Amino acid sequence: MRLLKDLDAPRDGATNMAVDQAILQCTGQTNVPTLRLYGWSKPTLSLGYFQQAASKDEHFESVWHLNKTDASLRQPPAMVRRATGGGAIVHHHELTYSLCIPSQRSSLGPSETIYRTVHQCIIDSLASQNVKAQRFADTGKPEPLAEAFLCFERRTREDLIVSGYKVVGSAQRRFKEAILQHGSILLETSPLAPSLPGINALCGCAVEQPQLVDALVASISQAFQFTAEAGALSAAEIRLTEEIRRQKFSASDWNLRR
Amino acid sequence: MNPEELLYAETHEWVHVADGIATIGITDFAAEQLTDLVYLDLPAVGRSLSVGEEFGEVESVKAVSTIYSPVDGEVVEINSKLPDNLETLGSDAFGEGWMIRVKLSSEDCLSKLHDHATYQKQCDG
Repeated sequence: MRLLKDLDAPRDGATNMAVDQAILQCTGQTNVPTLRLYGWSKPTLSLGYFQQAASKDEHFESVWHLNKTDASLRQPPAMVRRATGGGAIVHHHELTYSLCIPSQRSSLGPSETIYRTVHQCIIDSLASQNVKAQRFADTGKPEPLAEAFLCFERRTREDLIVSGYKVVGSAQRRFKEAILQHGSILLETSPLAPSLPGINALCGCAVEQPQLVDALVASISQAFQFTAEAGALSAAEIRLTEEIRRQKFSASDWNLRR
Repeated sequence: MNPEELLYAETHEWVHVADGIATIGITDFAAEQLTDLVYLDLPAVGRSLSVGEEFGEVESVKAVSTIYSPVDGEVVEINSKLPDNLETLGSDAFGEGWMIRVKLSSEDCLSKLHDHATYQKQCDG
């Protein structure tokens, strides 16, 4: 498994999504899985693939009205539309991961196995930092009836919960002979999404990100029986990233398609 | 449509051809694999498609999956009721669950598709 740690050089939203897609598109040919851990160069809202762009306005209006003393909240953050589904995510104080794995071309729909396995790895990694997380399905709570704008206000079975709040959400996308799963581990509350407390606030702790990353890499390697090797994007992936970023994730006809 | 009389792509699209027009959908097996469907995107009428090219996307809970064209041609009709009635893909995948109609640019592409028995073996495997 190729390991890409992009935490010291966070990219903008369009580039982050383009990198994930470039890796996904190449995985079917290279047949090598890739685990990427990354950050965001500035607070960014990512919309789910099928979400209406206009729905973000109501959310950020209410955020501004809640805290008018913070001038930084007057303007909505940068926005990108993901190629994966689900709700909107404010990427601010989080650890983001993506895992691309080769799969069969005839495979369809979600891979429950990958979901559960990766999320169990995250549970185990958080436990190594004394954070107790559990699957939403194990909380015994019913799923909310209404669909919220923010991903972290929604609940599905495999979401991870700490003290009643969702702290980890993921989504998948298939492309020919590969599958991408990416997700967010919410470490701290963002003023752009004040209703979503991060792990540090919920536990009264300060998760050590480098240790969390190391634990997650080790856990995923063991669970999938991969051997993690530090690597870098190939020249082909770099070119593809730029092409995808330009034609898709930074283009208004993609980001505002709905 | 009688599933036994249709042609199939390995990516689970079915095809019925009459008078140079291919009606295309996804199989009931595919709909079941996709689980709870929430959104569907279909192409615009007039769009040209090549074999293997993405023509639509469907979101199920937690995953977006691509639908691939099994033929070469031009989209001449789409099932515009389907995105608001996704349960049809589960209940009538080979009938009211049709997705697009394509005017074939040639019938050569059909020789690469599978018959029902071969597709069934793929699903059983």
